[in-house]
Amino acid sequence: MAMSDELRDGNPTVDPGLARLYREAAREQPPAHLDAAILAAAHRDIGARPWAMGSAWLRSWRLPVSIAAVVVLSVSLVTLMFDEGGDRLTAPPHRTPDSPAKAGVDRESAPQAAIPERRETESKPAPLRDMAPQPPPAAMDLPAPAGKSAADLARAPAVGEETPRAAAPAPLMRNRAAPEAAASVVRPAAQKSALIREYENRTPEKWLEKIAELRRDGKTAEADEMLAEFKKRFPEHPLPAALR
Amino acid sequence: MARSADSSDEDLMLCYRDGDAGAFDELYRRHKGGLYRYLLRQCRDTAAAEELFQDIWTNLIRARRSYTVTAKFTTYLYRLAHNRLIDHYRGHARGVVLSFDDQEGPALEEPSTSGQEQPETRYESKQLAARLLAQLKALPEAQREAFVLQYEAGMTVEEIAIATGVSRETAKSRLRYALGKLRLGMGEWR
Repeated sequence: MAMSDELRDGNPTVDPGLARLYREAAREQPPAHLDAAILAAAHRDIGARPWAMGSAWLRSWRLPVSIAAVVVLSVSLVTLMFDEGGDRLTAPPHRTPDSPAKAGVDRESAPQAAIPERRETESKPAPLRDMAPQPPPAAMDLPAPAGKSAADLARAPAVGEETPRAAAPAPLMRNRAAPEAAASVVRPAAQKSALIREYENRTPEKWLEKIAELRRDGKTAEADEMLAEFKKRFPEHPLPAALR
Repeated sequence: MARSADSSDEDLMLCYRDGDAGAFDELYRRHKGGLYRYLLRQCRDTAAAEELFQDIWTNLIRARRSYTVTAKFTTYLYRLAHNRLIDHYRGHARGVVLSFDDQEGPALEEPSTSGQEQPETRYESKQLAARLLAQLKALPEAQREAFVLQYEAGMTVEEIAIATGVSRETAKSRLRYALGKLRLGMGEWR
């Protein structure tokens, strides 16, 4: 090989002949395990710092994603509040006393019962109404306690039956159709209605005889119910001393 | 930053800084051989060269977040390598550092005209290569470094000066002495 032109031309720092020979000689490469270790370290350094990785991308998306999250959360909350508020608005402000069966049906078919009412009556007993005679507690528009079924609600009059106030007035019961689910439970109230209905056209004396008979048989609740109805129907009729 | 096969070393390093691990793979593929051979020539010990090789790339990985383009990537990489090598010399063979002082050794002779004569016996390419490496090994560290940086990293005299932290004239002088000695050693071949 001839001396390089660069050297002859006065550039003593380049020698292509030596360069070519050196390239032929120098072919060593790092071992594979070093390659793997270094590349793994490089990738690990990226992966260990997720915020550093693609930081420009994350920065560009951080604001829109945050705004979207806030909007979704707000809409969800507003929708939820609107639904709750709608229930309050659609619930009737006041209900007339109703039969236990009817109350059960109402609550089953109308789940939008007012929440405030529900809470009020859950925390304290149902208030007495200015009506005579008083309907049984469950018939006084008792709001449904959370988690109670219609059958649970319909069962309430059975408990109230033990007290004198438990008797429901016959006229209110007369045209109510009890649902099948509550029929067996509310049967005592239906029986009383039938008894009063049976005596509707009888004389006051017959009423008094029946009331006395019920008392003798220990059916105090039924006797009291019939007596209350008697007083409504015949307010001027004198009562025997035993029934006063 | 978008990366392509034609991306410069500096662009690849910027991509890697921004989290593109593939850019590092390409950068490593381009420079692993040259850097490894540079260390092999300068250390003369394969195990030490491998250790330094791994250290230098690890340092590059650690420094990626602060990387900015202030020079060619090769200059940056070999500057890291040079500094690490000096530390290695200081820790393992203090005497070697002395050879980085500008003791140029024997004066550079003019290329011999006899070098143009064809040798009667031609060496096989492999034998010539082995002889060149032996000649290279015999050079002082600074001169050898200058030669290897030129032929492995493709650096200019100015870039060699920056990478090794010396003036342009010193770098040029080292390179001239290295070439002169190699030419003398390979006289028969020339």
